Amino acid sequence: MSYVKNVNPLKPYSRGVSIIGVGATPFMLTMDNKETRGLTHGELFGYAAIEAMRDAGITAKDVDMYVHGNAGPGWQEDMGTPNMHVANWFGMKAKPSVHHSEACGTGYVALEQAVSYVASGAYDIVLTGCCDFSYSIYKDNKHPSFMRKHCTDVQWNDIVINSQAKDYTMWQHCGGSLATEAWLDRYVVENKIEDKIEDVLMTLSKYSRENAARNPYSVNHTTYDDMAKMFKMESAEEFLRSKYNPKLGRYMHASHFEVRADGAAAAIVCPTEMAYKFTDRPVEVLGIGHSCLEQNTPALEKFATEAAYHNVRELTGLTGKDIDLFTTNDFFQQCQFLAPEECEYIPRGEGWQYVLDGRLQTTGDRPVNTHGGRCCYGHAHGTSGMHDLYETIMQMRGERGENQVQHPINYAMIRGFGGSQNVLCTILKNNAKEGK
Amino acid sequence: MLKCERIVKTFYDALEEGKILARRCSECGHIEYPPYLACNACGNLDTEWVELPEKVMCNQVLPVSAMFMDPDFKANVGDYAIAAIQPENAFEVGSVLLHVSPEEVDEIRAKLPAPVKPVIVQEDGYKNVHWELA
Ligand SMILES: [Zn+2]
Repeated sequence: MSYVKNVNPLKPYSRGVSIIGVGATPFMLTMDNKETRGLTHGELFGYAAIEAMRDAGITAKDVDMYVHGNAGPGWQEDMGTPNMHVANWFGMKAKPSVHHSEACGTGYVALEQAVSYVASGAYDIVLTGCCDFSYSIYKDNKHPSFMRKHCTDVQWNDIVINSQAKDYTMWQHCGGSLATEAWLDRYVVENKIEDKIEDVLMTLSKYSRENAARNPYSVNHTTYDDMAKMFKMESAEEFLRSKYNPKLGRYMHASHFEVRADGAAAAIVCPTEMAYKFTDRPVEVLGIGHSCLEQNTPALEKFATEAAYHNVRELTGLTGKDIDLFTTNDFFQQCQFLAPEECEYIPRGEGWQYVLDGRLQTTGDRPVNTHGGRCCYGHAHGTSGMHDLYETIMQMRGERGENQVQHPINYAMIRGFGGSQNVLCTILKNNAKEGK
Repeated sequence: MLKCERIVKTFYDALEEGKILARRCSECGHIEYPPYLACNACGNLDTEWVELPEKVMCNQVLPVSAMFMDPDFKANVGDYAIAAIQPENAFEVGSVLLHVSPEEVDEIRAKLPAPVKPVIVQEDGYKNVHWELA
């Protein structure tokens, strides 16, 4: 099974496009902190957008248009025309704007949208941003939007199920279970690692959480060793194998699923030929492979990743082996080794061993998800892809502090996934001037 | 003027008569199951009604994730497992395998791929197609 031939080849951009500024709020549980309770969508989007403009050394006057992304405006905010709900917050009154929603794929599509607008020649400077309140929702038409509520697990489950097509797919009663484990199961069977997969997944949980705990932008600042101490246990391993981390499927435990959060992020793009006017450290977008498969396709994430990667590899002539840092949506934590393997960042069939050997960690030779990933760092659905971009740009600049990788990053790949289901493979090139 | 035939309704209406419909591509013969308008294999825009091919395989079976339990569905059909189903000349689709308890999942996985047959099930106000081992 393969859908590669269904996806037409990518063509080069009409002009090169580079990222000149990024901004992000931390991921937060806004409802749970008296200093953040009541923050609204417009404010968070505005803070991220303004930070991105400051980072690029521009003001709102310089921006030609903006793109607004949110996982599903009906899920969190009951918004129509969401780009207008943020319109007055960051100095862009009357400028053109659009909104898009591809669930957890939104943050990756956000970059593709902005790059396409600039590559077309119609606009020079485009701001693209995302904001999601996945933890603290506003479902109310009677009060101002600072009056929010916790999103419950039941509400969230309804949202996930509602991302399936309602002609046939939803009524097959299988979409969620297939999406979570079908790819992993095929991998386990193909590589005959039934007896090892539990160790692999637990190792992944332990060090992803350590990455997140070191990251000031994360919602989790404790490690699983800290959790073990709280429960009077010997080690993270003991905690992760205890009743506090129940098995939820054939392979996955609670620690292998996303942790919901609130947050925003934004980026500024411009033509590559103009980029050094604004910054000494531009990052060029070389290409974005994109494939979508609807939820009724078993192991769709594998097949769409294969097709998206195939196209960006054909366009750029670069393979996963040329890439120095890999960031991926991992709301199912095993994607931290499945996706890099599919994209040839690590050798086929060896991803599980790379996890056990620590080679995908921040200190390893093939780092993946240095921020800690969705299951530990947090997941504000449509915005997380834009946070992946923020993390990647900061790593390329060498500004990730304790989580900074040990080698220079000339090329980075971001593998996005989400939306039942968009998959995008983006290749970025570090164009920083010598010594910057 | 463009005539808009009701594909989804025709599919569900046929189930009431005990018939399972699909669409066949007039160009490459690919089967669209469940039925859609155009061919997702070759992109041809014309497909025609056919009955579901007799040969259907189950390629993958998984237990239902605790994250996505569906108590109403289970009350209606009893034990079931998640399955990847592939009718001949069609793409693989997600569905469920009926009459499989969580304890029986390993035994069935050892036999895969295995032929399956459709079961028409009464759901809330409509009939639907699920599967059991042939
Ligand atoms: Zn065809």
